[in-house]
Amino acid sequence: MTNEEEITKQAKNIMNNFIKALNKAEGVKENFGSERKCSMRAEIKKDKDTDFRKKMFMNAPKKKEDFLVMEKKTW
Amino acid sequence: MVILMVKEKLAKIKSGKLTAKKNIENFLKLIKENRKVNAFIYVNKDAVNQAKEVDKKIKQGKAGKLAGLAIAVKSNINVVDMPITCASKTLENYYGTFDSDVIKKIKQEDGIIIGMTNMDEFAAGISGESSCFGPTINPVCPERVPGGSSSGSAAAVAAGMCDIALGSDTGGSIRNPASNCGIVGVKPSYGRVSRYGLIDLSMSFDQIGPLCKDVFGCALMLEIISGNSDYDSISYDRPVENYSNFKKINKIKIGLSPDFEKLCKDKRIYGLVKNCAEKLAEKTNSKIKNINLKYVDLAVQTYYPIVYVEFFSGTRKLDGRKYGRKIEDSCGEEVLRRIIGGKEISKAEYHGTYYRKALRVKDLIKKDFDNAFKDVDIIITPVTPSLPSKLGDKTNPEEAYAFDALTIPANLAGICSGVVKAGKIDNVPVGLQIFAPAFKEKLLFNAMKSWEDLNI
Repeated sequence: MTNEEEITKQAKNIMNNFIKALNKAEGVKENFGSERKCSMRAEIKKDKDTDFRKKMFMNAPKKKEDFLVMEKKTW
Repeated sequence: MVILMVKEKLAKIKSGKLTAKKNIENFLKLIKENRKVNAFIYVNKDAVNQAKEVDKKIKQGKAGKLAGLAIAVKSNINVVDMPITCASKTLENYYGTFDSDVIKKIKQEDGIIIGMTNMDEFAAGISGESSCFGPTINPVCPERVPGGSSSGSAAAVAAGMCDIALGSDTGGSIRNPASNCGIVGVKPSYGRVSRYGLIDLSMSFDQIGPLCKDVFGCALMLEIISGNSDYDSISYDRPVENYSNFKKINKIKIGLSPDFEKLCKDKRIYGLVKNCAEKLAEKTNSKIKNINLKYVDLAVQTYYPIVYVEFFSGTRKLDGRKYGRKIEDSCGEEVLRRIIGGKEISKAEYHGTYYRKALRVKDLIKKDFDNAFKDVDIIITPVTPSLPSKLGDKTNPEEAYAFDALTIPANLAGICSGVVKAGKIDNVPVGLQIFAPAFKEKLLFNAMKSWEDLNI
């Protein structure tokens, strides 16, 4: 085992021992992971905007053939 | 050479009996003679010239409150043009590009920065042995560790190599070495002192504070460095009282807790500190009251998960691109343990399991103290659960962490805390720790001064 692996194992063990001890405090035993699920935003499935590239190209101030030309040092 | 206390020295400098230049030269000589203590990583080569400028100001009657005093600074506090190494190979060649808020204030009051002190690497240690520049030696008890992480600051004060030193305290890093070296040290309330320019260990707990031979020096320094700053969003906008204008405490309630007694491995230490508390109560017409601190035995287990995560986050800037070397490639074992541990428990799959759980218990401990301070004015405890270990002794990390069990609660609760000498056991200095509610530094200093006057 390398020194880094050993330290990783040791650090994990220390944290696990410490967290086990904290479970004895009132109101901290529950799994917060479930709390997070409740507040997670549901992903909305949307159809791809097929006109996106066209709109970008139309709005770009500088273009060459079918490429957008980056503006350098103008901002 | 007779070592003068800060108040006497200021009077001598003000009256012209001692010049700032002479004061600095005396210290530079002592630093040279005491090299083996290894308290300093860097000594200010321009200190004498700066002292001459202060002498001119003194003659003109324009000098500040710290005029001519030599101030040592922990190597994690930015001072322009001085090496801010954090006692690590990682920042070995990094020089401060700006003055921290506290340094600006000290310079405004004509204090002279005499040098940068040794410390545990990145303030992640409690013994003073983990510096890449070698361990600091305890000047009053050389076979024992000086304590950390502000080891050099405490040793410099104890060996008479400066007038006042600055340290930082995240879980006891000022109070622990102050106790081991037999001097005075203060951790201010969270938010009392701006941390702008401090290289952080854990943003939820870090505070900069003073170390000195006497309570007056600490009080004077704290009233100078305290106050709100636009550059530190957690610094509170509250008036700073005149801490060095002491008033003897009288008829107050002093709390002692059996919960702290249980954490104290060496019962002689608790016995000594309890006797001190009883003597203080008797001489100040005060009363002792037992208080319960239900969750204080979980302080260490609460503190370290928070510190691991915040330290990991804080060190991401040290990737070798902007400041020196990549930290993981150049740091010592304890720093690496905290980084790896923090990285592991920051992972998404552990969300809430470690950090947020620890934050919840932190709140419970804070409530414990809020309730206790409804019944008592101050709380007295020892600083360390046992005597400092022998220099070079190997301890496993969990045992080492437990050494902070009596100092960490003040950081978790955000209250202020100070250490004064209690006495000696086996010829080793033992400190007495006083807790006062957040932003009651005036009460804290009055209690510390009352004890100092009794104990001289």
